[in-house]
Amino acid sequence: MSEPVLKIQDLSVSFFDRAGEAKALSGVSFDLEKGQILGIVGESGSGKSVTMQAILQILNSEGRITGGKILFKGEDMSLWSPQKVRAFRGKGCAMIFQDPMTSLNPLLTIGKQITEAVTLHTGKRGREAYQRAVELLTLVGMNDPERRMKQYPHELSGGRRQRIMIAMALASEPDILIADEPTTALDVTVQAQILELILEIRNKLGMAVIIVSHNLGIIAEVCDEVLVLYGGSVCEKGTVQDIFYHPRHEYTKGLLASIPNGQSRDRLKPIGGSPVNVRHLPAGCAFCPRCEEALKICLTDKPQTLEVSPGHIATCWRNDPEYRQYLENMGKEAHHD
Amino acid sequence: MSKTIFRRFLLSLLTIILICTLTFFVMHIIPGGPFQQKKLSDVTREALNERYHLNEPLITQYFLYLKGLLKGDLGVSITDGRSINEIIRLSFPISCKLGLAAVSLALIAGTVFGTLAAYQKGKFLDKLILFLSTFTTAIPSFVLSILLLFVFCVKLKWFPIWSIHSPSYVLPVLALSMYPMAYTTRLARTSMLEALGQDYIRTAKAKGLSSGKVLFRHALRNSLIPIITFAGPEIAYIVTGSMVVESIFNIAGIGSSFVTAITARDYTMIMATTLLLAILMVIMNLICDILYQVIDPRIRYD
Repeated sequence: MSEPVLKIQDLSVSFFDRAGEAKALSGVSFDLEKGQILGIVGESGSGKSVTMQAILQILNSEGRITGGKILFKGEDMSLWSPQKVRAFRGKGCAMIFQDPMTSLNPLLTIGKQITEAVTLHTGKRGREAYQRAVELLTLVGMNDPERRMKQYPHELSGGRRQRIMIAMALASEPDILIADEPTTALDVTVQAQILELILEIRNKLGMAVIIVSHNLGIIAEVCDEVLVLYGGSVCEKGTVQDIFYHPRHEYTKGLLASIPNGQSRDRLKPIGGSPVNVRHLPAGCAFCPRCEEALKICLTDKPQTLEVSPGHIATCWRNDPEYRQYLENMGKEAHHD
Repeated sequence: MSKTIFRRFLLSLLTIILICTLTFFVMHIIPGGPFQQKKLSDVTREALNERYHLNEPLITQYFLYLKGLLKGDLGVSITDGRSINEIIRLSFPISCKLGLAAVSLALIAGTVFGTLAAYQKGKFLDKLILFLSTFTTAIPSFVLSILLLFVFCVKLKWFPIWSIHSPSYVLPVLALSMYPMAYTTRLARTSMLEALGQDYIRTAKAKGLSSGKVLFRHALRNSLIPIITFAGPEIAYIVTGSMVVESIFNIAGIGSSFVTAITARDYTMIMATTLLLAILMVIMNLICDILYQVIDPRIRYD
């Protein structure tokens, strides 16, 4: 495949305030290809949302990119003028948010909010912009689009509002669609519909999609590749097959063990402890304090990111060739294989 | 909508009648009367009481007053001897003009300053605006008025001293508008900050809108409700004049009537000023309620 649409290289973001520095992201890298759906998982504070905000450059005033690069179609975004960045928002990369209840302006009609985006990105005005907005509403499967145009957000259900968010995001025919927890605030049945819609649109328009979620179920359902974040670093990255069937990082394994599968009557196995505080990252592996399989070295040294199989990378000392060798010498089987 | 407004109108009328009744009786409960303190012979006092029906039973006086009111007659000022309709006709327009100018200035400038401060939160401009608005809120209006008068009329001679023939509204409008302007600024800043923190502002930014459009199309309207809530009663107060500002600038407005009427026990004048304020207040509240609905489609009263 040609050049990736989005290339994140060694991205670090910190927030600075009176209490000091919080390293929200430390050295995250990944590529996003055209037409690909990438899932980003991790618990609260793992850096999922910060990554998205850094891409769109909508970090709040305390946040700063402290290292690394974001390349959009090969261009370094840090060199862009504010105008170009603004054009990128929406046009290059559109975003839909977690809570469609609060993400639409309550005082403006649906029509006004969609046509606003249409006018901004396509230059269409008046009747033309209105037509395009109606088209978009039809595209996202809204019945009676003409009537919806005149309605206010509070007159619609959560699922419908999320469809409107998607329609608004599609107004510019973006290269990338970022969906930040797109279904978290919705009913389960509506969740499935929205996911289906995202898939359908990807197939129709061929854009790249990033889905940020802590819900592994939806990630498994729609994504091509998965990125697992913990404490601001990449734990593991691979295809859905890799991550769900051959996890190579203890954190990923922990996440998978904590999903109810609907069959086993055993208690769910939670990951012990609480998420790492990014103000005080440990010297070694960020996950080490909660890891049940931690080695001595995990406490003192950061693990290397290794390619464990083609396209599948993991950042865990247990994948270290020397350690694998040692296990073999001990005549024991590494228990993951 | 029109049905709601009609119902609100009837309710407003009831409110005014209630205020009118309450004021009338409370006013008479307070011991003393308009002719008590003055050195008058008993015969004169008796004659005056008779002239103004003050020796009738209270309930009769009340109905006599209501009868006059229904004919649009507010009676005669007890201390002044002039008809109150005449007094209001001459002085209310002056206060009203002054007040409207002041309140418009205050609301517009206050909203702009507050919005700017919120947009520049934590930066120099925000701190400056916050400091000035706190400072202005703390200065009593008589100090400000005298200061303005002294600096611009007496020392710099930029503006003439006010007279009916050459009315110069600039300084009194400034003096009147300072407090509400400072208050509006603080209100606008707070509600703007709240609006800017909302999710839909993030959506608007992510859409790629310019900060001007984010601020004025998406945030401003969402921050207006508290300002309108403040503006309604404030307009009613300000157009009925300020005793302090009007007496310092020597303006023949209605402001001083409110205070002097009470100290002089000018019963008819107390009734008239209370009624005027009550009517204005009720109208302003009605307008506010309608405006809420215009601004926010989620607010519906029926």
